[in-house]
Amino acid sequence: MENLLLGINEVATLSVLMAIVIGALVGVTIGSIPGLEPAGVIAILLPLSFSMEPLAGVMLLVGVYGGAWYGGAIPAILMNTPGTPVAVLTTYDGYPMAQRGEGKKALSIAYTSSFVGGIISVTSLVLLAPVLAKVAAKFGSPEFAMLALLGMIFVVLAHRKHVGAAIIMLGFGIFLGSLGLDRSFNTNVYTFDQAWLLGGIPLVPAVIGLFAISQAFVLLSVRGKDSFETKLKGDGYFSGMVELLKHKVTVIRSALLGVFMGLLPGVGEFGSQFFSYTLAQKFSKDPDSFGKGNPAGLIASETSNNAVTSSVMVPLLVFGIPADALMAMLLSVFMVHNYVPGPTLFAERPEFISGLYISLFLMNIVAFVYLTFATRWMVGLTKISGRFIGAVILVLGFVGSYSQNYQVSDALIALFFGGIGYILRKNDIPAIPIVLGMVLGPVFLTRLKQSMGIANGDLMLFLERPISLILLSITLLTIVVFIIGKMRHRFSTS
Amino acid sequence: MISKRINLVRHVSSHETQLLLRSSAHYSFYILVFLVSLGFLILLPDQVEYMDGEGWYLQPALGPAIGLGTMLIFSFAYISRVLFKVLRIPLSVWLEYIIDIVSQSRVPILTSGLFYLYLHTVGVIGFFFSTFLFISTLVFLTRLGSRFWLAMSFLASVLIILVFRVGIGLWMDDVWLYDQLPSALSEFCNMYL
Repeated sequence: MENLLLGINEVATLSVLMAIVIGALVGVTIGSIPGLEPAGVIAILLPLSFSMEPLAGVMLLVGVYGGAWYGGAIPAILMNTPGTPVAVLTTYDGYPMAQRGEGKKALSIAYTSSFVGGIISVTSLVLLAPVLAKVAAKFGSPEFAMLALLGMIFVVLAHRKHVGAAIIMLGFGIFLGSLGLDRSFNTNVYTFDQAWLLGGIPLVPAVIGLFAISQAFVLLSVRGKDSFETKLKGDGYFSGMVELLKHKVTVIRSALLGVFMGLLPGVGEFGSQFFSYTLAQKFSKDPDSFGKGNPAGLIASETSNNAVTSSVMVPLLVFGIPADALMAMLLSVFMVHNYVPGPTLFAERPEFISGLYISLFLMNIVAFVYLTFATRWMVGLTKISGRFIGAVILVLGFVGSYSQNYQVSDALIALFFGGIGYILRKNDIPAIPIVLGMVLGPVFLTRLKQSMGIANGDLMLFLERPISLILLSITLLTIVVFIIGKMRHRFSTS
Repeated sequence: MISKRINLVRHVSSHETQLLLRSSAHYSFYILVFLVSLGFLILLPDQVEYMDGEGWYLQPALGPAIGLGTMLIFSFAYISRVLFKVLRIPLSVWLEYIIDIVSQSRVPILTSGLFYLYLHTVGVIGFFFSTFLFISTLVFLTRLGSRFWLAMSFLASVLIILVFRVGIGLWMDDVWLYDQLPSALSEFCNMYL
């Protein structure tokens, strides 16, 4: 109770409340514009969040992230074009519903499902995080090294169709993360005698380049029509609540799957959405209607992707291990304010943790209310040309990369990574493992060096400690299961 | 362009080569990764000092070696399946192919050039004017050259100034153009524009 009051005290400041509202509104707006991905905008906002209070900075980014998943349903349902990549399955049943004149109903179902998924996700964070924090208190360097390794393996295997490419990109990220001055021996690592490389490759310009500037290049390259005209038809925006009550089991199953998938690094929204949709179809009395405008399909898709948004924070808060690119960015916000994620954060900053929980609840409420009443004019945003958005993103990319250190050279680094990001997008190669390699690579290496230093280079240390052994076993088991699955698939197709 | 490329390939190579070249955008990326990681690995002894008397696990080269080694092994695994076939494609076809790729990427290349120019004009004519020029130029070059989009570019520039320079107070170096103005005006422009 005391922590709750402390949390309310933390949230009840103008800066935090503004961050929650602005973050959610910006996120919803971004999500509703096809082609504009939240990762790029979050990267641009990252340096801005450094100068804010810790909770306000975190909530600004999380608001954009969570809000975008809400807004992504608008173009998915009305134009058959997912506003965010995770809204792909929303198009399957949302668009057919809109075509038969149930656009408003489909949107209402999407918003309500997202809201329920989001609230269940925050609740899971509130319940799970303190319990896991107690487990994490028993972790030493070997356990953290194994956890970082497990995180990297999950991230790679999550890119099921591009595992080889994901491994290469992870290696690239680890390489980039290890550049600069090695503080243990005060020696240079691949600096080529360049003073600006002594601090290593800065994360913010790299992320802005990979996600925002590369996206601008893609938007500017579009030839022909890159805006849409849409019309809303059908019942009011509250009909979705009735529909959700008819599909209670689907809602709960999808939300729980989303929560569980969010806990696994790299799996996130895509995995949860796919499983939820498949299960909803499997247990449906009318599976053939899926993909043709069945509300249950829409509910499964939207509930599960929003159920990830808070549970994905558990690995970061409890273990300091980011589960995806946004969490890697959030980690840098924590570090700037000297808030070290892990079990000590729960003991030393209970007011921050409580404040975060309350803020996440508020963020979901703001996004839901905003969408319920503002959809009519939000639909108009789809008329903005993608090429114009691309030009504006480039300017914002400059501002974002420049504002951290007030150096134009950071914007040039962002431009360089923008080129890399563009090549990756063109070749359908994931960029997320680069960011996670840059963040998790140094965590893994530092903890590995500490562990091996204690054990005088004896690798048996990782087998002698129970938690470390469990984590290593899970890592190996995950790899073995993945390889067997691949081989089975190959045999069955040949 | 694609048909031109296929015609070029037709007289020098088999049907298999044509297929290979069509998908070589993918392979050329992995070949590039392989060559870059190999090059960096060769530079490892030169770029990272070996610490005598310390275990392998404490060496500063451990991180880069893991990263570059991963890139090298997996990019080689990827290209090894087609390496010998790729090597048989004549250099002239490769060159033509690279020109084709570059021409397909002319928008990002041109945009990068303009962005580079933009970064350097900010200190000369100021953030507002350079931003307006940059956005309107890009909008014009991408065939949105109407009065409406010009007005939108102006509006976007004003909004960016209001949010970042006036609202957040983003610091920027003094601008050459503003320094030519009377001191009070110069101070105002340097602070807000």
